[in-house]
Amino acid sequence: MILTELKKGEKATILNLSGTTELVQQRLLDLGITEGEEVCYKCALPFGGPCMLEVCGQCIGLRRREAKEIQVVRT
Amino acid sequence: MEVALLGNPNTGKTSLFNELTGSYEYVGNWTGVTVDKKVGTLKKQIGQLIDLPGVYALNPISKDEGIASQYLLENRCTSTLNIVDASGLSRNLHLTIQLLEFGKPLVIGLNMVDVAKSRGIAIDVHQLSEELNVPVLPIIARTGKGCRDILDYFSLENQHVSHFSIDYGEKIEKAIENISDLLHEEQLNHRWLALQLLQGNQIVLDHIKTNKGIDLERIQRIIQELDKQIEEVEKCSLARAIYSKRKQIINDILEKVITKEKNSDRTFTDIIDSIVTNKFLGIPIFLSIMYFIFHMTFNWIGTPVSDWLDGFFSGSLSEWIGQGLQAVHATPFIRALILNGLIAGVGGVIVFVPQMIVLFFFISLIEDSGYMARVALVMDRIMQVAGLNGKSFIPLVIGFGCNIPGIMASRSIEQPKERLITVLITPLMSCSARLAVYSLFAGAFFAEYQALVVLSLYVLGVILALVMAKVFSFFLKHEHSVFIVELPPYRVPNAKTLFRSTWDKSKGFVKKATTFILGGTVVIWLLSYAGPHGLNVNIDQSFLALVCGYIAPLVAPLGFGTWQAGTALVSGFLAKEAVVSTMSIVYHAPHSGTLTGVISQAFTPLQAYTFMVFSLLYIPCLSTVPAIYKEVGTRKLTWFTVMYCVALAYIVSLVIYQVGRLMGF
Amino acid sequence: MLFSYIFGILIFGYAALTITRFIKKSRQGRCAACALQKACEQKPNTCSNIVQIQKNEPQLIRNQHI
Repeated sequence: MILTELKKGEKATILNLSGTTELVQQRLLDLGITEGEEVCYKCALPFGGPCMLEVCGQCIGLRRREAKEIQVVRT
Repeated sequence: MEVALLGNPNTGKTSLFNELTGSYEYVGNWTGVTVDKKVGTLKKQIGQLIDLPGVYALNPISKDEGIASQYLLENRCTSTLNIVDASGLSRNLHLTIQLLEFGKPLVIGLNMVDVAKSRGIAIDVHQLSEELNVPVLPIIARTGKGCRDILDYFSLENQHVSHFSIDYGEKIEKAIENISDLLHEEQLNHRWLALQLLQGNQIVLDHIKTNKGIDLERIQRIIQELDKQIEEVEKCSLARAIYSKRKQIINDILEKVITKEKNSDRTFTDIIDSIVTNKFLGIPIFLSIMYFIFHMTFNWIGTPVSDWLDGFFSGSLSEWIGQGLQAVHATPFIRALILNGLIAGVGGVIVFVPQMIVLFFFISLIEDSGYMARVALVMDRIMQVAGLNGKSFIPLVIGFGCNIPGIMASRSIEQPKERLITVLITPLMSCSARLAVYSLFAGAFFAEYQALVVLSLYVLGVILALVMAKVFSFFLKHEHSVFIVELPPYRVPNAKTLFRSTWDKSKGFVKKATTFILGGTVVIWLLSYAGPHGLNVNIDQSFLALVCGYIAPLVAPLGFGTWQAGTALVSGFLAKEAVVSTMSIVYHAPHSGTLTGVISQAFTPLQAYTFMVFSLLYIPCLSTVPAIYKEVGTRKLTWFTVMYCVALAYIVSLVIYQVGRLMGF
Repeated sequence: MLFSYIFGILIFGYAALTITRFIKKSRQGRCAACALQKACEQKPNTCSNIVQIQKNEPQLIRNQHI
């Protein structure tokens, strides 16, 4: 399943990031977001706005379009 | 000794810098506060400390990150100080490893140990130091705790060079060795250079290119070959393979040094976030906060105090000085210069200091609390429509204080196109200097609705900026837009930081008023005092009136076709406050009471509003122009920015005035 | 009368000084009222012009290039 299919507050493990662009991938790696990390989908802003995630104890904001490229599995 | 201060963004580098050097640099709670290199002298005069923009790795994406890597390549520092956020060790250590590979003496400042503890993370500092083979000093940079130990450490003669090295596996190690052999002419650590090249660090590659003695082609061949091998075997890129290896080592280390208690409480940050980034409330909350700030600034605190100051300047103070001048038998020329020129002009600007203090206080509060990054998140959807991303909104908010740091803040935006557009639209942000103009006019015409009128100008500035951004993005090459923002935990703002930040900004405002605005005022006054028929002429016959009379017809369609308004706008190019000081002089008639009174006779409310809109947009001030030039890099684009602002101001003001008139205002 | 001369010279002298200083500083793209005034100005790849920040010295308008 993909990250955005999670419900608010649900946790999942990241399976695959390679769908995102090189630049996004590098930034995500910089922030410690890699395959195998646990991610919590905190909320999403309206009209297709960005979503908020919690990974490794920190919050990040990410566009929904990018988040859709991230494959996860529910834990 | 030159110590480089490096660390991930928003880990408190500048706070530590301020503590260690006794200076005061701009700090805030979001990613990308420091976008430039800063130099300070360490306390006890033991050497210099260089504060660098925050980086996640030495392979830069955005322009501010490039500054840090570039600095290391210059090979000037004798020692490095790596500040590490204790609450996010696993991510922070990636940079630490690269710095260890860099091979200069390194000491780690383990910051925010208090934050980590509150999250249930306990770190064995001694063990960490042993694992990495470098000294680790726990600190709390915001309060200055532990900073002394760092100073003491740098006072020592022998600094420890770490011998920390990761085994990246046979294939990569072989390539590192081969590349290192080709780099023998380089002064920097060969292993580090080789690894950075393998990771595809463009800045390092550019640096190597400048060294003619190096066989670049062979290096690139080695990298390509290895890349192919790794791709086949491990099914990932070379950079990724190196990253994974480091991550594995980091995890091994963390297992030994971290003890985590289960802590699943909803934190303070979670609760606030559930409100301010709420689906429906996010943007209304942001606007309400802005409205509240203006209401405080104008209706509640600022204006009452500033009215009192105004009364004092135009009343008692003028009287006392007048009497004093009489007592020393000053000539009428000097009397007029001091009373009608200096006191009216400079005093006219100084009276707005109370509003500035209140506004600066709230801006500092937003900067230090952590709300800034949330604003970027909330605004992203709207910014996307304009062809930008939420991060571009941060420079715009900073531009509310002064356009120049706003323009510089655009460096933290990843995509070149979005960065350029952000620079181009930041001059439309209503800076604090323009606030003096609004205070004058809104106070005279819209006394009860001051906050609302001023908010409308700020919002108008932002809306026009977004419209222009959309227009510009049609003319620029399409790029994939990216938006990733780190949302730091909220912090109760530090009283000392708030005070210093407010004080510094307010002091800057007063300094500006008493230096070159005073200078400009003297010139304007002289031109209004002298005319073709000698000195002390009727102001309508002065040089000023004659020259600026030519501008008046140009702006007449906008509703303020008087030479007085024309003069104010011309001097406003120097600095926007000069609009106010000039108006004070040209409308200053003896015994006519306060400036507000005179102005409310000279303009209608519609004209006043149009004038405010025109002052908001019409031109970036003299100091902003070179800042734009520095970021955009070409004269042509700089001129374009100035000219489009003038054109936009004219069109928008014209529409507002003519439509307003038709509607019967 | 003497007093007037002194005042006149002082005021005009100060005005001329501040304006020239301001224009010089403006060329470097800095705002007198902003907190970044003490920061060093740097274009990419030209790292020789670091502005020195000395502690406890508020008057940092003039850059000392190293």
